[in-house]
Amino acid sequence: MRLSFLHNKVIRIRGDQSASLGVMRERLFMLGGVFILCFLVISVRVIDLSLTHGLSVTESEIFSSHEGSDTQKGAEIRRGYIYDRNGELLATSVKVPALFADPSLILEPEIVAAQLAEIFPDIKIDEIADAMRGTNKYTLLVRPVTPEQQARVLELGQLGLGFEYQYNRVYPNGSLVSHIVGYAGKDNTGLSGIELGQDEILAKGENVYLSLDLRLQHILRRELTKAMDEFRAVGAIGAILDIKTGEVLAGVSLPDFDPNYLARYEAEGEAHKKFNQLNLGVYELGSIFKVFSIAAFLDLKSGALGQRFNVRKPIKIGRFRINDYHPKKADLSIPEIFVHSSNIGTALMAEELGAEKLKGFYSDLGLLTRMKTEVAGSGLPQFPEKWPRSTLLTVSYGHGLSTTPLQVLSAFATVVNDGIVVKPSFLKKSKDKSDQEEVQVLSEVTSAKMRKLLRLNAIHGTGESADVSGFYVGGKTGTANKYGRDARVSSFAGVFPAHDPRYAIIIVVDEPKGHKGTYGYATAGWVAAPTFARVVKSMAVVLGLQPDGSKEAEEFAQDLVRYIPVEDQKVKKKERAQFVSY
Amino acid sequence: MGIKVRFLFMFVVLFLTGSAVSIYVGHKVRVAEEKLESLDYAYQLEISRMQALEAEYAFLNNPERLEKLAVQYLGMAMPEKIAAVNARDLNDRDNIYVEHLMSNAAYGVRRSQKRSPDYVVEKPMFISAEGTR
Repeated sequence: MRLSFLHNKVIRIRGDQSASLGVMRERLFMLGGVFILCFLVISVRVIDLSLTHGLSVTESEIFSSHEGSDTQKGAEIRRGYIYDRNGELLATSVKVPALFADPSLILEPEIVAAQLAEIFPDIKIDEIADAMRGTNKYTLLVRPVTPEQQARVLELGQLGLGFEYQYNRVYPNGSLVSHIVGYAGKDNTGLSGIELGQDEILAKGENVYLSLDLRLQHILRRELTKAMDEFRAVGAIGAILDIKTGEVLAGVSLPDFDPNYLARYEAEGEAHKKFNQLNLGVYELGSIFKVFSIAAFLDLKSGALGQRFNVRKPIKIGRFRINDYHPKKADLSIPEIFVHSSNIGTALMAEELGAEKLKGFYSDLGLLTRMKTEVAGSGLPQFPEKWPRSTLLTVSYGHGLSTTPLQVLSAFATVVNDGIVVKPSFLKKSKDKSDQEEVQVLSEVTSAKMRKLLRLNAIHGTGESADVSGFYVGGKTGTANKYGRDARVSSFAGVFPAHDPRYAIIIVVDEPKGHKGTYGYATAGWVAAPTFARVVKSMAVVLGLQPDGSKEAEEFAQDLVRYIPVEDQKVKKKERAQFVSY
Repeated sequence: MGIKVRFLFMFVVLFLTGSAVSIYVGHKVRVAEEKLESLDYAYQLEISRMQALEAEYAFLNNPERLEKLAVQYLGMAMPEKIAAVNARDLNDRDNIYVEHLMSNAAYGVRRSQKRSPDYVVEKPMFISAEGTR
């Protein structure tokens, strides 16, 4: 052991002192080592922090102030989309900027509110100023904000104003499918239509495919709009149903609304436009109910088509009388009663059948209970609880019983579908055949008779103007007067092709007014039936349906023509066999 | 003593090496994470843009809008004059025309069958009204 001093003298320490000095030196060495280690660790960490973390502001962090992402916020789940049966987008969620304020950084709320009012004309200065006076750190002011508005807000240079990106529901087709798709609120929860009915699925981010065909929806809406305009009606309703699957291919309720601008309707006092008359509105649809009453009579009473009823005199019930629109001084067979739409004849059949059976049959067709579909909300049918004779007779031809148009269409489709209940669905079905349980409420024989009657009515009856050559339409008109008013509801329910129905369509026009071209008439034969024909023609083009030239189709219902006296037969032009305006 | 110093030296070297390696690995992981986050964000951004584009596409393909444009710029209209005709309903003069059409369309109907009573074509045909007159 050596210790060096200034004079280069070497002093040797031996014994106990030498040993303790050695221990001390070791400890100093160890301590120095620890200090060096700590220094090195700290140095490395400082280098690490300054060189790597200092530069670790990611692209996403830079962009997050500009356009938020799902991973950044995590909590916000994109609401599922809604598509039509062909994959056309009906409702989507798009991220849009929303303006928020941090009141603690707003020094003069009144001035800022006034500045914002210049950019957003719809906002109220007082409300915005109050919102910015709060003590919280976040107040949502405006949503959505357009890029131009966003730029103008940024130009204000207010520190307390900021933007965040939120999902906003967008409906690219505007009012075209508004009543069926419905709309979602600002918090992205469904408030009506499919948005509400399928809210649980959509909220999970799952997409929903509807049974609707956007092209057919457009055709139906276009033709109903034409009918509304031509007859100055207050509303129009229509639906196209695929009888084989129960899928609703189109559903329209006019007037309608654009779900992208909901606030506008409240502000302009037009909230009624948001009412879905197809599912929620209940109407007396008049003579269309004769289809159900006659079907009930044929099925439950085993009535023969040739059976005749005396319709010469009106039926008196107390001070009321049941009349025919076109009175006949004869005993009419069932086909005649049907094509002349005789109230008296139908009422006589109902009387023979009895209230219990008729009510039971209506119930089997689903006309007396609230219909459930995937679209939220459904109107409750209105009818008297007890059916005395007066109710029985009037209900048989569609007066005194109000149901939704979709319910009537469903019952109508059931009658022609071999009596198998057709349950309307607004969701696309994967299989061509309906997967629902088959419930038969009417015999196949009766259903075949009804198809023939409907076809006969389109050839020689009130539904003549609904026929489209090559497509063999069958259907029934209905004109119901509104109580206490000189107003009516004109409707037509039809199917095609009548011998093997695939599509059922209902057209309802609310309060049409006649004009010169219709000689002042606004009955279903003038209003709803031609609209039906136009819809069929257009949808045939879209769906690529070819006119049927088969013998079976051509001769269908010809055996019933013998019931119609020659003078009552409406002989159509040669075009029925030859050239037809398509 | 010598062993202890060597041991300490080795320990320091190993510790420093280990620290450096772990810091390097940590840094690499962090960079990778940031890259992943950045890619994820870019992906989300693209999804968001695609959603906007899809909405725009749907808006542009609105049937009502397309119909208006088709009428306005292409002069398209509903086919008013197309005739749906069954061959069996046609008279003799039309039959000759149908025969001509059918031979052109390679329907396989022989000329010898022209006047045959079985000369009934069940398949409906579209013939323009102008074409037959």
